[in-house]
Parts: sequence; structure tokens; C-alpha cells
Amino acid sequence: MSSEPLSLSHIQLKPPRIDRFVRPTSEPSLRVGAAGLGAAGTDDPDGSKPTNSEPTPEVPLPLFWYDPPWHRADVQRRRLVAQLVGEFGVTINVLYRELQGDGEEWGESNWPRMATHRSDRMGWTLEDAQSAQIAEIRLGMNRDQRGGFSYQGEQLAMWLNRDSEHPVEPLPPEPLMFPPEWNDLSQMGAKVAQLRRLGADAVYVSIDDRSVESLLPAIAAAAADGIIVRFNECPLASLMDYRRWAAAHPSSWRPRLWLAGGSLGAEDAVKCFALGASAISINSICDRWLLGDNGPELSIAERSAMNLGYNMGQTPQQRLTFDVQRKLSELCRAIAVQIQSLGVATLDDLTSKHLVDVG
Amino acid sequence: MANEPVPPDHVLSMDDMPDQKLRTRIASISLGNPSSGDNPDEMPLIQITGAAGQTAALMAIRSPVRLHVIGPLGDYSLSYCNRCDVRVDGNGGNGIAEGLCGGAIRFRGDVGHGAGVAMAAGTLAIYGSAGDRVGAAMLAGELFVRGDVGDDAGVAMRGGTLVVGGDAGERLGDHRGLGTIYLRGNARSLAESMVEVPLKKRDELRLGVLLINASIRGAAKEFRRVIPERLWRFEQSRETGEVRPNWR
Repeated sequence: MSSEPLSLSHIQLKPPRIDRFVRPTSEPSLRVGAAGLGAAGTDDPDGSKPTNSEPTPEVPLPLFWYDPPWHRADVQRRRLVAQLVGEFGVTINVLYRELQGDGEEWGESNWPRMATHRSDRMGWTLEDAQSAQIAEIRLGMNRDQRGGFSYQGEQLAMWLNRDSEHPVEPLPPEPLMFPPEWNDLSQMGAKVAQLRRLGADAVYVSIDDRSVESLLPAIAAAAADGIIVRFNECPLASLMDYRRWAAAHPSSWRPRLWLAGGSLGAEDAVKCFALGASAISINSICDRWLLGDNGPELSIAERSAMNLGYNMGQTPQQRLTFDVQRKLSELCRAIAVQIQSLGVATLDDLTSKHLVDVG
Repeated sequence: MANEPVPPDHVLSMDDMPDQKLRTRIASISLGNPSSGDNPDEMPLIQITGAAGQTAALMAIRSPVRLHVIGPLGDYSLSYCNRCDVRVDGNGGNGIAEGLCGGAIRFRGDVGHGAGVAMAAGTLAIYGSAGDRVGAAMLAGELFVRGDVGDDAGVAMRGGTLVVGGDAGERLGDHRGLGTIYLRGNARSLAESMVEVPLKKRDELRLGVLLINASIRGAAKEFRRVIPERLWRFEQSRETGEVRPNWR
């Protein structure tokens, strides 16, 4: 690319080839794009796109649900939504305690799970390290609605045992932004090694988008499998920081890049994959399933469809199931169509050569 | 654990087997001991040799065993342990005994930063000194340091008891939780809204028992409490009728 574009909207996907007749060989499916969890190899001719150099654990889809508002729903709904979304193949960010009811154990999931290891270990248990596919070391955190950093009371209720009989209630804790046992980032490697040894398939480190350039070298030096970048609007700056670093260090350990935030459509998602991202978050689709109490209402079109004999689900749970399946299928198909239109078979084949920079 | 040398029931070397295998071996020894319960005297005593500062060693041991580790352990060692009684003749790295869930761990040496971070139960005793942020994000349990502690000890501490036999650095304690800190020496400064107050008679008795259990010499009356100011005000507002012989 000649000069750096300002946002994803300044980049376009390459138009399809029109020099010969090509019939699509199969129905577009994102299932071909299973995302590896381990760190990417260093044998990429493009110099920026991660490729696997050795077999690593995988998750079914390059989509994940990051930091869902579990505290906004009761435990039954949390479990139902997690089950539906997880079984579709989306990696879900959830702690064992967030799906555990009062005095009721939660059976282990058969879907890909990411567990957040906060600096103050809020909600974290040994079960998370031993059963989650991904352990996320969270550095920093997003600001709350008032612009500060805080935990919600409902979150603390999920994470902490409330069996204290002390007459004075503790105040809500101020979150720690940095692990208290570290003096600097050079100690990250020991934490990564610890979580791996406890049982996590992969260890990712999450940071905000302003810190990519400064923290990526330390994360790579710690041999973390991946980096999760929290962004607000557009992830392009983070992608460019990642690409610059990867190009400058072609032989170093290269963590995979997962993008969390914003509201990426199918086309933007494909651009991100082509620029080096391995997975994107889909909170804008999934969060609302936790926020509604009675399941999604039927739209006029859906009512009409139901009157014509289509099964849209009678109960709120059935409607939720249909809604999850439909929304996620639509997204996957939309992404798969875009990828197929570029003439590549899998996500790993996507590179920046499939993009046109118009910035 | 008694101070006089007791011959171990088993000797395992960290040089001979990887950590995973070592932990499996410890679990199998525990399973093979029919009298093994939570009474330390009935637990099998396993001597661990070859410790040389290994990172993340001996984690998640949840069997009722007694371990005697000879040599130093590295960062995050003995994390997430439960039910076991461990004595380490050596120093410890950063984040040792993270998330301790029960049992007892004793270090006969110094430890690094963040010792006992997020511990939820059990006893961690350090017979040397500890680095910065000891007992950070601690939820419950008892943490003893015979020597000095660094800055920000007890930061984000929600509950439990931190006993400091020596001096403390800057910003001791955290007023947002309900943890209790007993301090024998001096703190360079206390965290915001923390106050240093004398022991109550009840604290004196409790601390005395804790010190005996942790094999730490010294009289409880030599300590002062460091607690949130609002907790102190609450205590003052109550009609306890308690005699405070140490009031000064």
C-alpha cells in the first residue's frame, strides 16, 4: 500500500476476477476458517499475515464474544445464551463463576471458552485455568459509562462469595490495572508459562488499542499465543501497528491478533482478516441476547412468516434459539461470501494483496 | 510441622521428573495413604529435592500431604494449592502461593513481589522479608511475614489477615476492603483512609493464637492494628463494654 489509510472505509476489497468463467465450487461456509490459537509462524512471505508453522489448537470460527455483560442476566439465561452461542462455534469469554448458580455447580462446556485472568483475579478460579481453551491476561480495562474504572455490583456478586457476617459492608474494589506481582512487563513470560502449565491451551494478553506499539514487543518476548486489542471505533491503527512490528521482526515469535470492540460488518471483518487479524469480536450481535428478559420479539415479517407456516418458535426460549442460529448464520455466510468472492479458500489464504487501498 | 527433623516418608527430586509428573506422583502418594486426612500429623511427609528457583513449580497440589522443599522456588510456585502443608527451606519468587485455597505454606527465606496474591483461605507464612504488594487482592486467610514488607502491602485486599513482624513501606493497606493488618514495626505511610489503632483484647488473643500456629515468636501485644478508618469509627460507635488494657 502506498500511503496509510485512515480507516477501514478507505480500504476496499479487490474486485473479483472477470477474465474467465468460474462457478462457485461450494456453498460459502466460514467453517473452513477455523482459527488457530497458537502463535503464528514466521514463514509468511507477505511478512505480515500469520500462518501456522505447526499444528496448534483451534477454535471452530474466527469469531469471539468478548467481555459479555453476564451480570445483566440471571444465571439460567446466561447458561442458555452461552450454550447456544458457544455451540455455534463462537469462542465465549466467560468465567466458571459467571455460569455457576447459588450452590449449584456448572457442568463443563463443550464449546470454546476464554477465561479472563484479571490483575486482581476477580472471579478467576483454578477451574478456569484448567478447562478454558484460552486464558486471557487482561492488562488495563475499558472505561465505564462515567469515564472511570470500576466493577459493577452485580459483577462482584457473581465473582465473590457473600458469606461474610461482618456488620460493615466492604466498598466496591478499585480494579487493579497491572498484576501486583510484576514490577514491569519483563515478568509477563512467567505468568504466560504459569497459565500454560495450569492447563490453558493458549494464553492471550489483552490491551487497549493505544498500547499496541509499545506492548507488542513485550508480549512477543513473553511468548504469548495471542494479543487481544480492545478498540472503540476502528481497529485499523492497531492493525497497522501490528503489521509494522511484524514486518520489522520477521523472525520473532508472532502472537496472533484478535480484535475486540466496535461493530464490524462482514466486509470490514474480511478486511481485518486480510490485514492480519485472526479473529474478531461480535459483541454488537451477541450482547442483546443477554439484555432481553423474554427473548426477542417477533418482527412483522416473522409474524407473517409464522402465519404462513414457518416455525419461528412458540416460547421465548425457542425464539431465542432461532434468533441466535439465524443471526450467526447470516454473519458467517456474509463473511464467507466475501472471502469466496476474493477467490481464496480459507481465511489463512487472505492477505493484504486482496485489498485495494484507496486512501 | 514440628521443628525437629522427621525422616520423610518419600523423597522426590525435581531434577528427576518434570513438574507435571512430580505433581501426579504426589497425588498418587496421597491416594495410597489410607490414613491420609486433613490432620497434618497423619499426612505423608514428602521431601522434595532439586529446587533451584523453578518457575511455576508445584502448583495446584490439592492433596493432603506434607511437603518439605529444600531449595528456592521461582515465580508463581505453589499457586492454587489446597489442603497440603508445605515447608520451603529457601527463598520464593514473585507471586508465590497465588490463589491459595487452604492448607499452609511456610517459606524459610525471603520472597518477591505479590506473595499470596488473591489468596482465598489457608495460611502463608514467610520467615524472611517480602517484596512489594504482599497480600494484594487477598480475599481471606492468614498471611504472616516475620520481616519487612515493601510498598503497597495489602493493596486491593478484601478480607483476611496480614501480619507484619517488621516494618512496612509506603501505602500500607486498602480502605475499600475489610482486611485486618497487624503491624509490629513502622510503616513509612498508610494507604488513604487507613488508620493505625491499638489492639483490642479480642485481637490480642486471636493474634496470639495465629502467631503460635505460624510458629512466629513474639508477643501479640507488640503489634498494632491497621484498619479502614470507617471500620474504626464503627467499632467506636458500638457499645462493646470491652476493657482495653493496652490503650495508650
